[in-house]
Amino acid sequence: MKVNELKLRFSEQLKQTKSKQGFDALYLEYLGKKGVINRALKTLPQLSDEQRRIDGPKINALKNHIAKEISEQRRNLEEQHKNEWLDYTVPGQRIRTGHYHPTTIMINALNNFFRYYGYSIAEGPEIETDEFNFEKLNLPKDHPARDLQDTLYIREPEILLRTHSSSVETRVMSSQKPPIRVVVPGKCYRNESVNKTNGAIFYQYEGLAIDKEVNMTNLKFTLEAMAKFLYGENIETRFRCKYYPQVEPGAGLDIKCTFCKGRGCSVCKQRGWIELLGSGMVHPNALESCGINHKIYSGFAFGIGLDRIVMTKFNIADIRSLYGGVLVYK
Amino acid sequence: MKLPLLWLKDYIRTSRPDREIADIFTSIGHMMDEPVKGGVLSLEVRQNRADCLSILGLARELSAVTGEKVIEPEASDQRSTQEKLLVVESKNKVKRFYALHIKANTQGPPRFIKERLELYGIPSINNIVDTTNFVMVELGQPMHAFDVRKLAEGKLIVRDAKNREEFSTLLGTTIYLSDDDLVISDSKKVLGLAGVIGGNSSGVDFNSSEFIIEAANYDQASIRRSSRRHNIRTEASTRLEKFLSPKLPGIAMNRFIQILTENDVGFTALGLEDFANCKEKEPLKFNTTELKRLGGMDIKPEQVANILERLGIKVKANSDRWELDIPYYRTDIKCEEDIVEEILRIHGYENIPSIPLNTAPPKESTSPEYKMEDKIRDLFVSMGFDEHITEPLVKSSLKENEILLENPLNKDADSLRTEVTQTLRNALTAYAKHKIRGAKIFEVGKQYSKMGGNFLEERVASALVDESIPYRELKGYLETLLNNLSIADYNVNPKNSEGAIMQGNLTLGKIKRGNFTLYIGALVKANKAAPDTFRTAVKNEIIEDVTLEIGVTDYVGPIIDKIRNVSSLISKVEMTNSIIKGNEKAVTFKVTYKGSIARKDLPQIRGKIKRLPNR
Repeated sequence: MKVNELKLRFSEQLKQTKSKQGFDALYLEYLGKKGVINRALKTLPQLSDEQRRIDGPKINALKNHIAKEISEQRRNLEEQHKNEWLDYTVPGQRIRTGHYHPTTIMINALNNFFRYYGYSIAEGPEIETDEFNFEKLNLPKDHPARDLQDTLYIREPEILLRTHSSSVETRVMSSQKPPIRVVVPGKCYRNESVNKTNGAIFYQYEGLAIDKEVNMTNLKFTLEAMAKFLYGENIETRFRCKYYPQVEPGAGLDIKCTFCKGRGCSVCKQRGWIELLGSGMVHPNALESCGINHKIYSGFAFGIGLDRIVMTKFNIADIRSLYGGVLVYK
Repeated sequence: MKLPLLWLKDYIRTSRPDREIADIFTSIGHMMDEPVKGGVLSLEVRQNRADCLSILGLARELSAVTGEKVIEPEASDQRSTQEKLLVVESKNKVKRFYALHIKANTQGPPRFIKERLELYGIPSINNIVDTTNFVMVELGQPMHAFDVRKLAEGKLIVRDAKNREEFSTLLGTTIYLSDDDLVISDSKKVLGLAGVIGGNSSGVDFNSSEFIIEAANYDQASIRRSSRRHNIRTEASTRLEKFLSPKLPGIAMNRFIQILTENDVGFTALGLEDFANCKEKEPLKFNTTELKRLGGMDIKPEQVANILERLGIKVKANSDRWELDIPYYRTDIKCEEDIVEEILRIHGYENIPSIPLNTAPPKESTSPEYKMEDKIRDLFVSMGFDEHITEPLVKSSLKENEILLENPLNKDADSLRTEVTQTLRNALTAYAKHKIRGAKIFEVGKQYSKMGGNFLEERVASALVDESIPYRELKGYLETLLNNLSIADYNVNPKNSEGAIMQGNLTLGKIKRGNFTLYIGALVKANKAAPDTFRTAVKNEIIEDVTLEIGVTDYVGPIIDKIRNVSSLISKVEMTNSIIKGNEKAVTFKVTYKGSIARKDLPQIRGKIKRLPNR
């Protein structure tokens, strides 16, 4: 094809090119490795010396012309885009992501927090035996403290739905040798009439650390760290004596009521403080019943009810919403 | 426990403000339930401190912290006499039983008793009944008065009830007893359900002048069972279902005698019988090194001894091996750990320092199933699914493998779900109510079943979509999920009107119209392919469409496998279209050949593909 014809064809195509991709394709077509110019240059050796001396420079001139034109038009396009008015404030077209359940979010946050301190996650059966749910926790049958749990039975009194995640503690202590350091997020069940603050299932988060020379100072540190993680560095806490059959000494951590700042209100039942965590040193009876020598090893355990915290953080007023299959995410 | 502060101050001279007293009790284990109202502080007494369900017990607690001295109430020193007032038949259920035979004038109670009982919340009746109630609240030992005229033979019999024996309570109700219930009776009828509630017929009135007074404690487990069995909770039962000291009835009896001696002119004690079936407490050995090992605290031995003494515990020190005499009312102190708690709580938990664990963490032990569940949640959320957690209790549909509850909350929640989709389904209804189309939800949880004698908890992830989402899209989510878990070689096989997702013999899950379920255990076990995330060089691939005609109910999945198996030079086979024509459907497949294929080989492969439906 003659050079002039090529030049004309190029001009036509250039007029049609309106986009960056278009320019790229045009460049490739003419100036690429297998493009028009290179192909034309390859035919030069076949020509006579005379012809070559005429066509050679013409092809090179065309090459430069094409490169210059493409470059200039590209610049024009960019200028055009720069000056084209774009409404930056127009509302975007959102895509809808999925959502984690609020309890999952809370559990994941706590798991990550405790991972930092070397805690693994332990699990256990929801269908439990009286032995692991009560007896091994220093709660023999007819013990006065057993009432606190209204139990759902599958086969009374031996087979039940676990009333607390402490049953996993006894499982872990019975199957692992110390040192033990675990947290247990767990679904628990209770036989209580259902209302705004009580459902048949509830979530607890439990922790257990057993080694040589684990003591109350370690427990206090852990609880305070957890309270700060959940409520901020400036939260005021109160570590006090509390009774649970499975621990001795027993302790609880309260936080200053976030609503009334300690003055007393309906949320904290006029006490000024809200109970957050129950805990203590694992009772020697519990350790021994799980096969751990209580004279060599000591450990602490703590537990927290997750639902109330989740409901406050996510502004859910009725616990039946959490697990009743009625949550509709936006 | 209601604590009238006026009454408390009878036993401890304190001028501390009410709020401070409340805070002290809270920090040592008896939480303030309600602030002081009408001079009464409401405390949630520690569950294992039966001795603190008494004004004196709480006075002792306060004294241990403040050092203010306790004023013990005056008591007489009556000894047992010869008179036989008691027949104890169920010896194994009775720890201590004091019976006192007296003559007294029934009249109005002394003012100080009436005042205190009213603050506490027990109505005043007469001096005899009021004094029994007063001693109960003061010392924590329930007492009861029987009118001798109404006793068949002037003797109390403590025995097991007969099965279905009828009994009319003080409350006016009639209950039917069990042979596990302990009763106090005379030779004709039941007078009271021991430790729980008295009967209608033996009450004291203003014509009574001769009484048998009872102060007793029993096998607490039996009292607790009786109270729960008949659903009767009284001031007496809340105390007697806990561990009370067997010394207490005698002390209470002597206190009773003292009060009446001081306040009733016509009072005479005629006889006292004491039945005892209990052991003396042994001294407790305490290693002071336990305070450091469990409490993490260094407290000087003199200080430790001082605290113990303020608690009424007598210390016999012998370097770091101490012998402790525990006061009779501390039935909760049984081991060294109990002593550590006593020391720490009186010393003040606020004085315990905060020190992190300083040993190396043990080996990681989180299960692969848990990690898999986390990953699956992430993948579902990234695909736009909402997570739900639904209560796993459903109405039983009488399937054989269903696990039933013996005491369900209500009939609509009397069994455990055998499939997560059973309860997850309800969530879709909520979205429909909000007129949302295209809802996609999932739950990672358990489904429960029984097989043989075993209860199984199967961990699954179930996804549900509403009916506006076509099957191919649902299947797309499944394939995307498995792909991102690096699970590549699996098939969906039609089986029992659902699709079984199989990797060889391993069942990964199942898929139906509108939902699919994956088994976490299987996913963990499944073979994982090497990561294949990136494109490498730009290859010139050859892509062709080929349309095959097959029966309208023929499965497309196996045909795709067959096409792929026609040549190793085929890298991908996808379905792009399916048009039904009567009994047949024309399915179009997009076949991608590897870049290394020679064009001359194509016709042969194409031919083989086209012949497939006829094989």
